[in-house]
Amino acid sequence: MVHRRLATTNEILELNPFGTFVAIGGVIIGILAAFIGDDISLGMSRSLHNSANYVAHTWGFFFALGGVLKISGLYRRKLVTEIPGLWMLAGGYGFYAVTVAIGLGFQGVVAAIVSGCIALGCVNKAVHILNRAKRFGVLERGLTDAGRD
Amino acid sequence: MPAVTDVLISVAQIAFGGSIVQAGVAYFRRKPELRKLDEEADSVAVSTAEKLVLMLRAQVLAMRDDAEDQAGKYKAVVERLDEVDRQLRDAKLEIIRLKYRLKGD
Repeated sequence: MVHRRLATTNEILELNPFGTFVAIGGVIIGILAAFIGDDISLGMSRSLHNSANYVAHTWGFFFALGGVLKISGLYRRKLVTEIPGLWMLAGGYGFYAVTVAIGLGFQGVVAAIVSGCIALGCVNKAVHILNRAKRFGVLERGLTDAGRD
Repeated sequence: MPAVTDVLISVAQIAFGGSIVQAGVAYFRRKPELRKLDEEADSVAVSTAEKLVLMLRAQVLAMRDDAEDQAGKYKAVVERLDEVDRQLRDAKLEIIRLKYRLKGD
């Protein structure tokens, strides 16, 4: 018999402090960008030229959505929601890293490295969980097939 | 000819779009596996603790059996000692009896 006890919010926060606040940051920045546009980032305005405003609104929307999905998936214990959130956050932070580095040049290097590292962390976590899910799926199928025999 | 920065920006935009596509792929193609993994992760900690408790309980039962076995062996040794002691007393009495018989002769 297996008893199920779900982790509390505090326990999840204790285990995922970086993931939580990276997602919260994504939500805040994303909402600001979705409403304000390219004024949110000088690097983005400079690097994207005429299309900066449209791109910033779109980027902000998906960035905020990614953050919401990530937090929701993490605290409701649903990887199906968390993984898309991680991919969107990775894309959002990665895109910001490139635009700020190009738009601000050397002055944008620090912001670019910080966001780039966060993006890589998000990709790493998403890939790690997906690989685990794949392995688990293979294992499950293997056991089922063995059971049939 | 586009500048390197324009190419990089295009690549970043494609990558950003790609991450959204990846999100969709993860949701639609890996949904059952991710759900199973969720259930597994929920129960794994508890089942590990449960296994530990079962293991400890088995050890306690084994130790109790062992103690009972040892107690049984101890009891058998005590009985054997009593038997030897009784035989020794009989032998002593027999020796005394034989001594008196020899003196009488």
